Amino acid sequence: MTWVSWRLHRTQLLIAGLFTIAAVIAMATTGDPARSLGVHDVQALTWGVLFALPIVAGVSIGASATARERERFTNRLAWTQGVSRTRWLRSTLAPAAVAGSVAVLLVSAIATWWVTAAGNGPRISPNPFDVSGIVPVAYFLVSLGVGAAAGAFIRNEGLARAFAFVAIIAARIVVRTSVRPHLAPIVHLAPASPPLSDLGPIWPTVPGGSAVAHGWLLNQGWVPVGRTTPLPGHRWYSSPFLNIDFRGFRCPVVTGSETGYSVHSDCANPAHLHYVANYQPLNHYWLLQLGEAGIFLAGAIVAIGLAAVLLRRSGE
Amino acid sequence: MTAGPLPGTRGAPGSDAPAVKCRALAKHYLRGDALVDCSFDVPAGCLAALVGPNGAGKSTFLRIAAGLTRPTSGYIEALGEPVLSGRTVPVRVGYVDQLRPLYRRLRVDEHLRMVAAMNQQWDQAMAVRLLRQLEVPLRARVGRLSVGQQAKVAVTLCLATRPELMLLDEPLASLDPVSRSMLMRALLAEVAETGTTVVLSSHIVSDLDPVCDHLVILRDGRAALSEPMDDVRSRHHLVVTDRGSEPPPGDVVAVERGARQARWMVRSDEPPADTSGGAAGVEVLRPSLEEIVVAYLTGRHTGSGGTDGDGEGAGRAGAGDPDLVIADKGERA
Repeated sequence: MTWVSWRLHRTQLLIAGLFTIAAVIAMATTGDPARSLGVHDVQALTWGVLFALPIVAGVSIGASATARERERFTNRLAWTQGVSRTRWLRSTLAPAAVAGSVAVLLVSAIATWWVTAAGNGPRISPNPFDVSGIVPVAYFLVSLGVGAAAGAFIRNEGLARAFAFVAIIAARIVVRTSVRPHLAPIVHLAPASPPLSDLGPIWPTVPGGSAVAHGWLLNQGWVPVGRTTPLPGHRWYSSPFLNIDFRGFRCPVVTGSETGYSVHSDCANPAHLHYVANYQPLNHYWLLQLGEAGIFLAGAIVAIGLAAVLLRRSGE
Repeated sequence: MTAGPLPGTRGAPGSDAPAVKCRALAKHYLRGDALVDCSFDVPAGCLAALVGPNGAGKSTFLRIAAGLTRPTSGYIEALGEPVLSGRTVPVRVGYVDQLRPLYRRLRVDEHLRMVAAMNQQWDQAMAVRLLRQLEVPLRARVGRLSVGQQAKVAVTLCLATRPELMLLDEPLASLDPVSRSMLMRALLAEVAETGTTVVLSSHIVSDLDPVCDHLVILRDGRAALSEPMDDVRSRHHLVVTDRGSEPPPGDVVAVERGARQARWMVRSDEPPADTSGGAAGVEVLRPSLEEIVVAYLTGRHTGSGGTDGDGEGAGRAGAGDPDLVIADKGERA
């Protein structure tokens, strides 16, 4: 049955393999920051492949295993042989899932090196995180499962793929923005009187701030002393000059560069505000990777189970 | 279960269990009913023909028997085991869909390998021999084969799993006469050795006449008749009488009234007396299989409802009642 799986999904696996090789070559040639100058287009394309490859490959294999069979009625051949539909689904998906996972893992292993070597920021920050470590494998498998479930439900391969693709992208956006930051305890840093630029503190120069610079900065700004988040109803304020009433104190309005003016002593301290950064340090990388991979692997198992139930119940 | 077996079906206690047995089988689709209260048996070891017009429910019945389609209600068993759609696969049941679905991009020999991997039983030598005999190139992609060659591949894949029951949905449709007889001969030769039960559907009765030994006529989702071919031939009589005559003894399947004569399709164990020499002459003819089938498909009778007995035709609704007869082509002509 391994051969059956390979033969039925050969086209998708070969195309995915070509993209894998292309991504590996692109990363190898653009990984050295010194040589990466002037190859931004290649870098951008590489990012595109790294993001899309696990999802597109997974959805294609999953949807073809269920929707294409029923669209072309070949399920009437496959389901009247000496294996149950559940076993048929398992044996047609499992080898393709293993082969695809190996390829995705290979790419993400190289990407784990590439994202930092090419100067793309710390690997715990959102974009490098998405293409490195073990989460790409989980993305691939959940795409496979959702593709199969959508195909078992919709029966039209193109529609099933599109539906699964949109569903996966939506789920990933939600997880990335709302779930991933909380998969490990958030670390807070509130340095006393940090040197400030227009964009906030220059973290590498702040005592203890290099962890923020090398970590994933979730949010930062002025909040009341004693808190690590804004008051209810307030946003994160990056500047105390907004002339907003903080507990009865308004910062003096400053025009131009006034000498002798100190943000800290003239504004923040009287308003009882301090500057806080919430971040995930780099050493939480594997905690977050495990947590997010676990979420999507659970999703993959649920989706494949749903696909099996839908196929078993299908009575045309 | 109110509906019993139809006249002529074997299956008395002690004899072999029927290869296919269905009772009050029904399948409703949104667009209409495919099967309504369909009950009949197919005895083991026979080659049964399932005939009926398009939409009579032949394909739906075969898909249900193959475990592909779930019936809305009713009971069906194949080889003595209940057929449960999707849950268990009847391993010993082979099925060829009317669309003959194959993987277009796979070669013929890749299909052999694939089906072999999905079955406990597989006769590779037989499959290769049969395909050579049927002149199908093993290395060709299925998508490039003609419709006839695809049918040969589909039937070969089914035969090589050595099923005990083969369900073939229109296996000969859209084949040229040469392929038709080639495939039929190959099928018969393989089946004759093993004693496999074959149920094949067709709407071309002449294909089935010489080869089938059991006949099931489906009409409007019901079994109008199910009995051995020998009984079909010996129990049906074409009786020609004067136009105004009383119906002849026996069950009237259909009547066709012409300007002067009435042609009755009668079912009875003994043929009515032939008095064609006399004044009020009654001529008794031996009908062709096609005439019998057409009589069942044009007459008002749909046999499966109401037969509750021991297989002697008791309770065939409206039997002999001229009010129910609608086949009146002769009068209009």
